[in-house]
Amino acid sequence: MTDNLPSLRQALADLSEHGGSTDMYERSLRRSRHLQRRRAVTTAAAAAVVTIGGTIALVNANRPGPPAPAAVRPPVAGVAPSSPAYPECPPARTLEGLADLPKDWSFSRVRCAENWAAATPEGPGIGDGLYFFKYTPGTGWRYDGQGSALDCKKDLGLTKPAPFCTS
Amino acid sequence: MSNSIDDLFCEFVRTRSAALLRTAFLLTGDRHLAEDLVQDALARTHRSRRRLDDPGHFEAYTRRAMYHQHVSWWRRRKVAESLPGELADVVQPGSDHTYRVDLKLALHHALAQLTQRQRAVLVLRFFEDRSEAEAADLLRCSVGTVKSQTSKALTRMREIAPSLLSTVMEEA
Repeated sequence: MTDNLPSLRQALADLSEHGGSTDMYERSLRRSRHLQRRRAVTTAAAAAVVTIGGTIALVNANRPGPPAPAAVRPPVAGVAPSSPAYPECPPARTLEGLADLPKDWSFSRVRCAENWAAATPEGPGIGDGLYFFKYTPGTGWRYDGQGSALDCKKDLGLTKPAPFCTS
Repeated sequence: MSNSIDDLFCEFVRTRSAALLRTAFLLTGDRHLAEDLVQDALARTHRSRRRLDDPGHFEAYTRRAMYHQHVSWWRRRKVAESLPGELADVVQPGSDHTYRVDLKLALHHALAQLTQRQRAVLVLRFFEDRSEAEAADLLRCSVGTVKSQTSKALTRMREIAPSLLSTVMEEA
């Protein structure tokens, strides 16, 4: 067995000393507050969009006249001519077969945006992360990685906010 | 003792930052990235501090967050890893520490050639002395994956820096 590797262990211990001893307290508090603010802003923005959208929908519903033209209707995945075709959201079972899930884990929920799918894992010792899958024409869905607190635009390249991103 | 959860968190960060930074440096290979990684992990712990029913769980939660973030795909951007400048000052040919410094440099170079997950399993198994089961739990993968990643990592290191896998610690 390769467990006893004194040179490697010693080198790891020596190398780790270069991590420094910076006091991380203030930094971590700042970061925590920043994340909290970002989440609050996102939530407020989402609430505002829903409120405004609801108001407009209500006004339009009560206004006499012809129905809104198709061009202003919300785009349907794979149908809107101005946007690229996106795949259907895959079932959890399909994605479970693509990820190297620990024993007794499964996906309880799958949410999709454009060519990304985010699966929520369920099982013993679970954390707050999601499993991400990317769809590519020709190869289909592929496991991409895990994470949480994602920035939709920066991290996934999405053009619009998605429910599994924090911004 | 009437320590609030905030006081306990503060005490945890002040006493354990250095240890967390040591692990983070091995994972990232760069001091600034290590600080970013620890900062993010501590921020997550801070946000969850009221849910953690025991302050003793702070460190476990923070380390789990560190490994999770490290292995996560959006951190896989390639960043030029760098050792702090003082290492060059330590290298003095003929000194008692030359051999260990050589090993350290070889390790830094070798770790940079590994995948994030291979690197993480090496740190967990040979720096933190975690069992395969504990490593699997922290990395959220199976024990079989930990075994195979460890094997691949060691094979790769044997090619890059065979001296690191010596079964005896050579004297300078």
